[in-house]
Amino acid sequence: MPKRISPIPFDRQNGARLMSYSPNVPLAKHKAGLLLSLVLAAISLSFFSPLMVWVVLLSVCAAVVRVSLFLGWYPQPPASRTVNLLAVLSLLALGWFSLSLGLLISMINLLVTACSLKLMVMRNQRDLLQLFLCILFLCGCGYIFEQGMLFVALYSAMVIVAFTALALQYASNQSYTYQLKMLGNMSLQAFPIAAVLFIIFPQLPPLWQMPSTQSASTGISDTMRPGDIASLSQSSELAFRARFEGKVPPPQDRYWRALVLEYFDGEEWTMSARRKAAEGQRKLQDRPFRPQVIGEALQYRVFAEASRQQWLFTLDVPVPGSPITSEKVWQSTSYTFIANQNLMSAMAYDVMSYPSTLLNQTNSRTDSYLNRQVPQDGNPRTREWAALLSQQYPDPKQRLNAVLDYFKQQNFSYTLNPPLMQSDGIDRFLFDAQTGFCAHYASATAFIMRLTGIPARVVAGYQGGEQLSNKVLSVYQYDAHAWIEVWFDEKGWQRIDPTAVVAPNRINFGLEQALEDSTEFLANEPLSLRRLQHLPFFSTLRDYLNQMDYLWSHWVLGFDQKQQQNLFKSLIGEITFERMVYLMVGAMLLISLLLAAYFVPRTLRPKKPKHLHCYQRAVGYVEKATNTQRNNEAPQHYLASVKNKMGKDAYTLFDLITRAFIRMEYAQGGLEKGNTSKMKHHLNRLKRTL
Amino acid sequence: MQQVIKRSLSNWFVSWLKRRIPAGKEQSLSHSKIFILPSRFGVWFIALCGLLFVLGTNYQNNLMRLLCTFLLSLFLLHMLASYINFSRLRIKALKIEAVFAGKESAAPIMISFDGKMAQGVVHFSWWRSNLNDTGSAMLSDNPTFADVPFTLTNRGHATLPRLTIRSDYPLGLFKCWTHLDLDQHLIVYPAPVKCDIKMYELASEEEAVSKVTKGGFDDFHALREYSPSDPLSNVAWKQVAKTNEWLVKTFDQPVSSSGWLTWASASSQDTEQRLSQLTYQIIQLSEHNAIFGLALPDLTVPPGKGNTHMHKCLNALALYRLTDKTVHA
Repeated sequence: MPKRISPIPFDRQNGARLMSYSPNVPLAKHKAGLLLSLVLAAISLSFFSPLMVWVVLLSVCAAVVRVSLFLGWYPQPPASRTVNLLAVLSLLALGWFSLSLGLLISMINLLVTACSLKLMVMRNQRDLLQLFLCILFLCGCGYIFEQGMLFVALYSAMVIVAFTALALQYASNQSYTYQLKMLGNMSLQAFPIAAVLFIIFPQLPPLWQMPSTQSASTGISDTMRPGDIASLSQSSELAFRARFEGKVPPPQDRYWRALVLEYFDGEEWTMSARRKAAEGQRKLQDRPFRPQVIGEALQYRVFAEASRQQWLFTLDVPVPGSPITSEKVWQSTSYTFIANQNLMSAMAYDVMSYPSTLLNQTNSRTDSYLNRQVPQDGNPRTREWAALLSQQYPDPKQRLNAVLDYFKQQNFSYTLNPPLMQSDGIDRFLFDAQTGFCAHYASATAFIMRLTGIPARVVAGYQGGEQLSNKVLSVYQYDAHAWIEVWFDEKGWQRIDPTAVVAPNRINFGLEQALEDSTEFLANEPLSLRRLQHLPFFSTLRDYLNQMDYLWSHWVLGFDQKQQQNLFKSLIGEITFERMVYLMVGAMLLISLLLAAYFVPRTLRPKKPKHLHCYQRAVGYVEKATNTQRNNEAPQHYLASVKNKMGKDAYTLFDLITRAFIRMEYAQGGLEKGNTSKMKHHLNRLKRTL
Repeated sequence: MQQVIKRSLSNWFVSWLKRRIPAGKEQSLSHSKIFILPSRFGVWFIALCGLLFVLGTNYQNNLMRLLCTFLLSLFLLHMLASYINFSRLRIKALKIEAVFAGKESAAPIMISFDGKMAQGVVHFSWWRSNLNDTGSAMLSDNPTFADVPFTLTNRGHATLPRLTIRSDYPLGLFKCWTHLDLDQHLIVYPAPVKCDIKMYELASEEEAVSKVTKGGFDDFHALREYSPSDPLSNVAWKQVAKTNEWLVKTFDQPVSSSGWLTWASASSQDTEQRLSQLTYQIIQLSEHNAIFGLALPDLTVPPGKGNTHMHKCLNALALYRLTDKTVHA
C-alpha cells in the first residue's frame, strides 16, 4: 500500500495559508459577531421609550450569550429548540401587548426581538448579513424617536461600528482598530457625497399615512386639566424655535396659540366635538379657513420639535407664509394651524401673523353658541357669585374686570404646586385655596364669563420664549401657558390673560421670575443647564449648545422643500427644467470629482526611480541601434554583448551610463542616488550619437 | 431553439473572453479583466436604502433621509474601494508537475500585489467546468500562496479551465471577479489500482521467459531486538526457542529485484484497468527502488530506477494509445 500517492510536493518558500471557504461563522473569537451584539444591546438600551422592558432584557441576554461564546466560556450556542421555544413565547407576548401598543411600536419590538433571537443562534454568514441589515434599519428607526444631536451622534456611531463588524467579517485577519479606522475614513469620505445627495434628492410630501405613536407625545395635549400645564412646566425640553424676519415681538405679545378649548365638563376643558366635526367637513371639501388680514405682518419660520401631536404654534392671526407650508398645514376656524399628520419628526413651517387683525371673521352664531356652554351642575358657589356679578355689572367688560379685580384684591398667588382641588374645583380655587397656576385662573375666568352669558374659551399654548439671537426665540415646555379669549361684539375674540393680573412677571420675564418660591422651578430637573443658568460657565455652555442645536434644526431637521428651492435658486437663479437638469448634472460631476479625488491617488503606481528611468531609456536606444534585445540581462553582460555592435563614442557613453546606474542602484549610502544630471547629459549625447 | 441561442451566446462569450483575457501564466488584474456587480447582499442593502427613504419621506424625517444618502454614498465608495483592492492582485500559476486521475490535486497559485498589498479573502472556483472544487485564501502575506483543488477523471493531456477569482472585500456589497486562463497544461496519470506486482525477465525482446519474480520482500537481512510494534510473523521463533531472546527478522529492500512490467503484469482485461494496475506497480517498485522497465505493445521504456524513471513510465502510461492529444477538463 503506497503511503503517498502524490509524489510531488509543491515547492513553496512560505508556509501556505490555505483555508477552505465555509460560510459558517466561528463561535469563539468571532469579532464581527461580538461587535454586532454590542451594537444591538446599545441600540435596544437607547430605545427605552418604545421598547418593552422584557424585550430590552432579551437583547441584553443575547449579547451576553454572544460575548460568552466569544470568550469561549461556552462551546455551543443555545440549542435551536430552546431558541424556537423562546421565539414562540416572545411572539405570544408581543401579540398580547401589541393590542395596546400600536403598530409602529409593536413592529420595533418585534424587530428587536427577532434580532436578539437571531443573534443567539447566528451560525453562518447569511445570518450575520441579515442581522446587519436589521440593525441598520433599527438605527434608522432610532431617528423616529430621537432627533437631538446627541442621539444622532450615538446612532451614527452605531452605524459605523456595525459596518466595522461587517468589514471584520470580510477580512477577519485585521484588527478592530484597523477596520474602525478604515470605516471612519470611509465615512468621512462618504459624508460630503451624502450631503450632496441629500440636498438634491427630492423632498417629497408623505407618500402615505404612517402609524404614529400616542404614548410618547410631548407638549400640551388636547384636554386641559388644571394640573397638566403645571407638570409640563417642570420640563426644560425645547418645544419649538422661531426665526423672525424682522423684529422679534416684545415678551408681552408672545402668545403662541396652539389649541382652542371650547368644551367644559366642570373639571377639564377639551376641544369641542362640534368644532371638530365642522372642521372635518371643511377638510372634506378642502376649504381651509383663510382670514382676511390687515395691518403689518410678522414674518417668521417655526422649527417645531417632534411632539407626536398635530398642534402647531402661531401668534395672533396667522396665514401660511409659503405655498409649501400651506400644503403641510391645515388652518382651522380657531385661527390655529394643524399639521396634516402628527409631528413624528421635527418640522419647519412659515407663518405670516397679523397682530392688528381682529378675530371676528368666523361665524359668530356658532362661536357664541359653543362658548356659552356650561355643565348642568357643580361649583354652586361660583354660580351664585356669577349671578350676582351679572346683576351688578350689566356691561360685559366691567364684569370681566370685576373678576380680575377679585384676583388682585384677594391676594391670589401663583404657584406650581397648588393643593388638590377635586370636586367643585373652581369653587375651591376661587374661595378656599386662592392659589393656583395659569390653568386655574383661565379655567375659572372662562367659566364665570360663560355663566354670565358671555362667550369665552380657553386657549392653550406657550407664552414667552428665550431670545437665542436677535432674530431667534427658543420656547421651552416650561413656557406652556393657558389664557382665555372672550367674545365682545364687533371686536370678536379678545385675548385676556388672568394670570397676568396675579403674576405680571410671568408674562414679562417668564416662569422663573414669576414663582414666589424659586425652588419650584424645574424642581424635577436638578441638573438641567437651565437651572444652573446663574453660573456664568453653564450659562455660556447652554448658549453655545442652544446655538448649535438651532443650526441643527435649521439646516438638518427643518430642511424642507422650501429651503431646498431657496438653495437651488441661490445656485442657479430661477428654477426651470433646463437649469434643473444642469444642476443635477453638476451634482453628479461634483460627486465624481470627489470620488476621483479619493481614489485616483490610490491607483497611481509608485514612480520609477530616476536613474532606472535613464538607464532604461539608454537601453532602448541601444537596442534599436544594435538590434540586440537586453531581456533582463545583467547590465554589465549586456554592455559586453553590444560592445562590438556600436560605435566607439556611443559605447563609451553607454559604458558611462551603465556604470553610473550600477553605482547608484547598489550604492550603500544612497548618497549618489539623487544626482542623475550627469547621467541625463550622457543619455542625450548617446541619443545624438546613435 | 432556445438551446441553440443559449449555446451560440455561450460560445460567443467564450471567444470574447478569450480575446479580452488572453491566456498567461502570470497576470495582473488590469481593468479589462475585472468584472464588478453588486452582490446579492448589496441588492438587499439598496432595498434597505429605499425603505429608509420611503420611511423618511413618510415621517418627514430628514435624519432618515440623511442616513439613506449616507448608505448610498458608502455603497458608491465601496464599489471603487472593492475594485481598486481587486486590481492590485497579481496571479501567477506555479507549475503543476503531474496528477493522478480521480485523485484530488491542487493547482498552486502565487498571489502577489501591484503596489500596495490587497486585503480580504479571495475565492477560487473553476469557470464553466465539471470541476466543482473551490478554494479560498486570506491575503495575509506578500506573496500569498494558495492551492486550488481540482480532480481530473481521465488520463492524458489536460488543460485546466479558466480560474474564477472573486473577492467581496471590504464590505461584501460588491463582488469583483475575473476568469483567468492561467495556461496550465498537465499530464494526468492513470489512477493507481492496487494489485499484485508481477515482473518478467525478458530474455530477448521477442519472447518472454516464463519466470515470474513475485514482488515480495523476503530477502532476509538481519536480526534485531523485538519491539511491541513488530508483527508476530516476523519474530524469529527459532531464536526465541533456542535462547529465549526475542528477535525479529528484518528484510532488505529489494534492490536486487529487477525485471519488466508487461501487459501480462496486470490481471484485468480492460485496457484502462490494466494501465491503472501498472501505475500502481510502477509506484510500488519505485518506492522500493527496484530496477524495472516497461514493455507494452507499441511502448517500451528501458529499465531504470528512481523518481525520474518513474515519471517517465507514468507519462508513457498516461499517454498510452491516446488518439486525441489534448483532453480539456
